[in-house]
Amino acid sequence: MSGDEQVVTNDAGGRWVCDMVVILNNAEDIKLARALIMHTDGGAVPLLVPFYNDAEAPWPEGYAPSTVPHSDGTPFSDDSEYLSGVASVTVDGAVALRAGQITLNPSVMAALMGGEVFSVEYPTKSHHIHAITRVYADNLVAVRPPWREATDDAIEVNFDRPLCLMRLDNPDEALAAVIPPYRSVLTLRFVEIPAP
Amino acid sequence: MSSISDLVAAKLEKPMRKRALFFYIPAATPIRFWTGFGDYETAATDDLDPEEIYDGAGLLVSAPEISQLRNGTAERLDIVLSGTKSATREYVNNPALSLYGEKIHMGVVYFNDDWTPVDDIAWLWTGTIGPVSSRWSNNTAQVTLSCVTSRARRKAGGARYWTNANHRSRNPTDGLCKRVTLYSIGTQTKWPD
Repeated sequence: MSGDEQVVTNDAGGRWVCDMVVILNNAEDIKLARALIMHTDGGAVPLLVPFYNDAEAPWPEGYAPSTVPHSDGTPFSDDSEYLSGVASVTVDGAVALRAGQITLNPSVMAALMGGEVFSVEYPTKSHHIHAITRVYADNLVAVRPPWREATDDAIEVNFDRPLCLMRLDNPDEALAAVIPPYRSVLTLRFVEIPAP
Repeated sequence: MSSISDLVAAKLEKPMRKRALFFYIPAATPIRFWTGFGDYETAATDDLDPEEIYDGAGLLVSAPEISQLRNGTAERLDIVLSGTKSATREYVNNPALSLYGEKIHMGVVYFNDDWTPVDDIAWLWTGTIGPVSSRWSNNTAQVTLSCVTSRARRKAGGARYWTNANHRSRNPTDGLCKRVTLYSIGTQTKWPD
């Protein structure tokens, strides 16, 4: 025995898993949860699960995008307002399948420090989430997991609301937790799927 | 079949290893999968299967013992995987198709720190597929491929002890092995007693 342990990984980057604990307080919550779980048809329906990174994303102003009305305080006719402070970033150049490093081309973005989470909408594989693990010079960053599909130049990077294509992994247990009285704790478990 | 190159050998010395296993079944509809997630394209210089897309096996539920892949020993491996593509499920569901007796190749790739493969796939092991089965577990279909090394035969091994019953089955009237059951290891029975 040399005492030198070997650590081996076989999964080549792995996949994302999302565990979500939701407290159901009232009848509306129960009905919403039941509708969501039943609509996934036992995990057979792909879902886009968002990653809420409100405090961490590289927004230029340091906080989440805000909406701004007209100068007299009125919104547009459909009640929407101007959106300001979103990050606008693309990938510089084409990226090969399973690349571990990409170069960003930021037009509006705060400085990166590593740990930021973003998603990319791939041509055929839908949205997948990546995390920035190292930041090198000239906007070169290391990302995990490796790139899911080869992409062309200037594909958009979504820092504002990263999305990941997933399926529900525990439909039976989740549905069993949705019961009256209306103070249930629902645990949802999502796992990433490669393509819709 | 390639052997391990110097690049891979250098990686094997490292305490931290990042690797993936590759499986290739050259059937009528070839089946290609690997232990990672998503797609993997093999290099143009690959010895066995260049420039093909390998599908992520989703969750590799059970992988064989890698340490026993050396040549010479015949052994049975059960590869259990979920998240297989429709081609694999078709072989399981359609009785007209069969994977029985098909070759299965298994290779390994080592990665450097940025998940770039240090070399092409080193195809290390070739087996023959036996029974294929599938089952449902937690809403996912799991497929089990039962394989043996190509050199192994499936017949039963020879008997190690030749008993009276064995002998009588061939020579019903001969009493040669009649007293064999009186023997035990480490003692010598006096004969005739």
